[in-house]
Amino acid sequence: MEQELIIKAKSGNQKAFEKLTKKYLPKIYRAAYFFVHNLEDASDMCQETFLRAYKHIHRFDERRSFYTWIYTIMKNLSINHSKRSKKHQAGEAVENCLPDTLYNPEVQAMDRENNDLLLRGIENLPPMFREILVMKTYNDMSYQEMADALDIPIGTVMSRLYTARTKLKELIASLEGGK
Amino acid sequence: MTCDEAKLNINAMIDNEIPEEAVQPTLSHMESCYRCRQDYIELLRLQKRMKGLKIPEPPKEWYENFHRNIFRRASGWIGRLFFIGSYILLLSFAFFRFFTSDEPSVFLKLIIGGIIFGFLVLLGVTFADRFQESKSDKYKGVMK
Repeated sequence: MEQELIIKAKSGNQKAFEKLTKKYLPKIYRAAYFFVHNLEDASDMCQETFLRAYKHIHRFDERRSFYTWIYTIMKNLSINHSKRSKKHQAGEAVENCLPDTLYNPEVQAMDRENNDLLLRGIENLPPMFREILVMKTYNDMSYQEMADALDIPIGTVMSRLYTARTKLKELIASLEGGK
Repeated sequence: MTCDEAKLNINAMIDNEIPEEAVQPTLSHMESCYRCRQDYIELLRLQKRMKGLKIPEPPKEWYENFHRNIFRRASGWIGRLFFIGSYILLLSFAFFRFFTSDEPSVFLKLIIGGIIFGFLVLLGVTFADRFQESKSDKYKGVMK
């Protein structure tokens, strides 16, 4: 199914590219958010990523994973962007992302605090660990896909992921201790 | 199985990526090792917490207009091509008429010629710089 869409998109079919975009946009957005740490830049990164993918799809080798390909485009654009702008805003307020329907103000405040703490923990991880954790948890990538995207063996994916989780646990514990 | 061997399997178990043959030995190890059992519980708890994380999301309209923006921006080159192409043609025609006409003095033609020459040199230098930069750009292979 996806192969078909890719072949059609390569021949200039906009509908096919639109379907591919719809499938991967939320994932790419989440991954971009953890690279650039704010909504506006993450949205821009998505636009740039899919624009480049659209312009260069004829170069894409359909034997490879489409998601890995666009992920790589997004990652490189985001790294480049972060280097240029130095606009890192760690711990950006997440007020607008919680549902308004939370009935209990105390529960709402606690949820927000937990959310903020976790977000700060993830943002404070070294990039190498943050990236692999985001790939697994928020992009649902398999070990094989991660190995392909990062160009590392599966064994390294496993150990890096374990270290990332351990480090995050420690970071959250220290943030909770310091609040 | 040692704790060091078990920890990676425990991690893989959380992700449903543990090889089938490693499931039983890992479970047996966890039964007899309190620390690894604890590790598993903590990792599960962390995973659940992470899955519940909410990040700021763009508005619905952004998702809805996303493709239109992409296609609009992608087709922008046609407009640029026509605009810049026609502009260059118009300028070339104007310069041709200016230099071939008898009306302006040679002195004025020399000055205008100098300005055009200087502009072209600057343009060439800028392109050469860009070319050098792109040669050392480590992200240029990203689209391949």
